[in-house]
Amino acid sequence: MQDTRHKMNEELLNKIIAAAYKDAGLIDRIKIYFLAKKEPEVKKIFDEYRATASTIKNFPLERIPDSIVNSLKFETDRKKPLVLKPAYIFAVSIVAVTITIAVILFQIKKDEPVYSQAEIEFAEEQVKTSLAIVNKIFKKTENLIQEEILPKRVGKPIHKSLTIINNVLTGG
Amino acid sequence: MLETLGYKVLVNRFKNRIYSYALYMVKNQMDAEDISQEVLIRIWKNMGKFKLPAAGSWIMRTTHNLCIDYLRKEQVVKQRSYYIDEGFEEKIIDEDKLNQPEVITLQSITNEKIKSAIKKLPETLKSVFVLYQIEGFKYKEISEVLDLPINSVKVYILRARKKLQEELKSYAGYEA
Repeated sequence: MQDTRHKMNEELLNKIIAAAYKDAGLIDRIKIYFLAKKEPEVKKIFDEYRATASTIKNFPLERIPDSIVNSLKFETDRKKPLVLKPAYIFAVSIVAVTITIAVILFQIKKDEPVYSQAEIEFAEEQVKTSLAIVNKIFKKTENLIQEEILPKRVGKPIHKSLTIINNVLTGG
Repeated sequence: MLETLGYKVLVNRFKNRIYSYALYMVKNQMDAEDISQEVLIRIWKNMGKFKLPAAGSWIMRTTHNLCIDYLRKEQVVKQRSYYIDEGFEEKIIDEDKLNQPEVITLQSITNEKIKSAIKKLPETLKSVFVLYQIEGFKYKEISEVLDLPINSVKVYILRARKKLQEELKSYAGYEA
């Protein structure tokens, strides 16, 4: 009997506290309100808890000193180590390789000398002159071979040799 | 860029909650500042590792764990430190500007008594109580932060309220 009464008191106290902190359901709050009107002990407990609850409810959050937040700017300004997923690493590698190749190709292209139209024409003239000189030399050589070397240095000794051989064969 | 923006939003949203919680847990203003700074740095270092909707739980869990670490270290060292509320006098002076200095000063003293009583609560009850009553977290969020079943959270809140009321009775002159 005593245990049951004690349990009931404990349950009632819990309800009073919940009502004071405005956690209890509407029906429980109304019950406690009317009970507090009838029972001075209930009213005393309810008022004590309600006063504490309402004071706590009005507590503002403590304001963090600005110096703490300002000191973080230094930390956040530091770059975090770059940690990438494999897919990103692959994509970044592709881009890097492409850029490298493009730069190399651009450099090679850039090394080629660029000539003006006048320079090109002048070079063409020089080539033509050179070829004309070479052509002249070839022609001179051809004439020399045909007119000097072949009849005199080659044809004449051969003719002489053939005459000797003929004489020998005819017995003259 | 987005990461920095997200970080700033989180800091603005949680900085005072972190500091308040730490202040109630460790009692000492300087240590609360150190813990708050450490939490804010950890948020920056872990940006991208937690989902933004769950950031609140992650941040408060980190704050709670750092407070517990601090309290354990303090127990080992057994250093006695006296908490001085440097802002208390300032609060009274500021509030004197109003036309009811006596009432406001008494209210301020009552507030300090209640805060002091909250700080005297056992760690588990205090952490649940502060998160629920002062920080405004829901039962489920507290359950996630402290890794406790929701029913335990409810029971601890009730016990904390009772314990707090007992503690307040021990103050001479406390009037509800």
